[in-house]
Amino acid sequence: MALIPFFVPVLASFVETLNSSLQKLKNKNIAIAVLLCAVFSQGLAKYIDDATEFFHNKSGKEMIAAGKIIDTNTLPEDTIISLSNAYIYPFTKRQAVSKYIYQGSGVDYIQSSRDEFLAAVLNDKPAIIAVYPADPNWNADWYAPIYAMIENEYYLLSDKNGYYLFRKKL
Amino acid sequence: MNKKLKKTDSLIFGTLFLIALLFVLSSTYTPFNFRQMHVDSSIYMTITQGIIRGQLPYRDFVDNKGPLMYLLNVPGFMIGSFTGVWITELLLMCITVLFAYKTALFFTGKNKALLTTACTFAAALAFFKTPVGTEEYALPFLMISFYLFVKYCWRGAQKDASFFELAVLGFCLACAVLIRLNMFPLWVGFCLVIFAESIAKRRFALLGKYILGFCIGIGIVFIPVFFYLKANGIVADFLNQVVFGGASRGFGGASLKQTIQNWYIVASRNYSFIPLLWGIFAIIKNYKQKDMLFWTGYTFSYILAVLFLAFSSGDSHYNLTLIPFFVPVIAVLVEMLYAVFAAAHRRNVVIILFLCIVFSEGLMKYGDDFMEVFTNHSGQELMRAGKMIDENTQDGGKIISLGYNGYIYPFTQRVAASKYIYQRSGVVQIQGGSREEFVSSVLTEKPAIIVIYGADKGGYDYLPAWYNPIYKMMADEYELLSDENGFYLFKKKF
Repeated sequence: MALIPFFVPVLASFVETLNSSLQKLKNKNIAIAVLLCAVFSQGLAKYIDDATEFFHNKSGKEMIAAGKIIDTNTLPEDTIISLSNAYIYPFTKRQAVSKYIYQGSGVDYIQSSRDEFLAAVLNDKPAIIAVYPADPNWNADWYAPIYAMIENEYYLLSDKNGYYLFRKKL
Repeated sequence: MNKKLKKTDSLIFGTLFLIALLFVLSSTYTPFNFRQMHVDSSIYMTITQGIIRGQLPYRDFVDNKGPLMYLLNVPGFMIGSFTGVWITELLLMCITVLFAYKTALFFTGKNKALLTTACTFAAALAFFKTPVGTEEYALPFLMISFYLFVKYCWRGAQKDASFFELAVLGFCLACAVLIRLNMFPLWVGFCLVIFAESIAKRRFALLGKYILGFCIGIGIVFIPVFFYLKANGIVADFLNQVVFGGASRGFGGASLKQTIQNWYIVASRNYSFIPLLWGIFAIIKNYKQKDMLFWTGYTFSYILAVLFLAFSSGDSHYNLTLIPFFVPVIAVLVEMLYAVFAAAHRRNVVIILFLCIVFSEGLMKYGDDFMEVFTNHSGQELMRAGKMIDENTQDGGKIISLGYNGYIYPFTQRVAASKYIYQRSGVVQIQGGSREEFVSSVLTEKPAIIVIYGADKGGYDYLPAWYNPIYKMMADEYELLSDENGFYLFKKKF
């Protein structure tokens, strides 16, 4: 995406070239439009694919529903944590228990980040631990202490809406 | 300008040979830097070696490629081992390069056609990842046919295709398909367009001649191959493994969305989208003109070719089969560059430098392959591992290699304990409980040596759980003979 500005002069020259190459054609504009559709078909195909998501992708509603479950099952001062990614936070009023709101790409290069994250979660014991099983990193080995804590001190509140929400036992 | 190639054009022939030679010098089979072959190629070489020893494809070895993939290497391997195979590669590449040049002559002059040919093979280098693979061996047949289609379309209504040319077209189709089943889109695309044109012009007698000549060419290859299979009683195995197994793998259940994504992955590799776009552009530009027949066949064939690669979401080496389609586009590019730089000082140098940038991906890969002379000693390791097996087993002893490769077999005198010489990609699609049959045969035969490739795996226990019965047998009845040379060799205890 960051390279797109560089496309502008090239595409302008390309359109000029097409215009001069096909100037003898009766339906020149249609021909150029057809050619440009072929050239940029990858982007157009992706756009169509995105458009069809309207009919079968309910992830937005699921996010809202998951956030609502968290809010109704916790107190305003309670905290939560999401393992691996940060999808859930914008859909709930509860704050994260750790500054490491996601623990994937990039964060793991920060020195002692994992230890700090684990310490915050294990000490403060958030009211809800959210696990998004579609994330390939959700089951990473170094989450093991948290999974052990979940096993002992949490119960499964919900496995719907694409999330496992674990609630701290009272 | 006389563009016809004469026997006296020794400089041109010499340059074409040099292009072919330079190309195959990056092969893993080159005698100057022999190294571990691609995993697919190890299977083909194992079967070729087996044929020389009197074994049969499909009966003694399970694989989903056509018989010509193995048979083409038999003379070379018999005469000169791996160097003989490399010379076979060189001969086939010479044919490919010659017909690429002859094709380029339809679009540009002699010297520019030479430059076009060099650039075509610089582009091909980016896809040359499986030396002695199905794509490389099908390439001469694809290129000859592409040349004949160009020749037919370019001469227009002046002269029909000769019976000999039609037979050659059929011959090439049969050879390519009997190397790998999915090589047919080039012929399908062009033939359908030519048939449609003949029907539209009501040239039915001519169409009959085309079909007859084409079928005779197909028969010249198919009939002897059929008798070879029939005489050896392996027709059913061939159908099961190559036709049904290959088709099952080729159409491996990818969804429409996945196929479209694959289509763009294939098309995105090293300018592979350009021939299609140029084809569409040329159809529009030449609408209702004499060149439209060629460009319609060209574009239709290309769409089919990319589509069939997209079905199986294969590696980038599959794109090598698209290389014939690059010739006209590169010829046009060379013509354009000469026109644009007409007034430039040292025009040839400027154009060659520019083309080096354009085809830098292939050239970079070539440089990388070349550097392997100094860093890659896998060829020597394979030979040492094979020698170790021979020295630690008796004549008639059997071995088995676990996993998806067959690297070790061509380097030992011992034969495989199971026809499933590799047990991953493609084999699982063969009906009849292939995994159970394999495990059962290894547990029953108890080969003298069990080989596990470990060079880039960091151990020998990476194979999936269904290998567990074999691992258990190894723990009880085998001992580690060697963990050097990139292989774990387990020897049966006496």
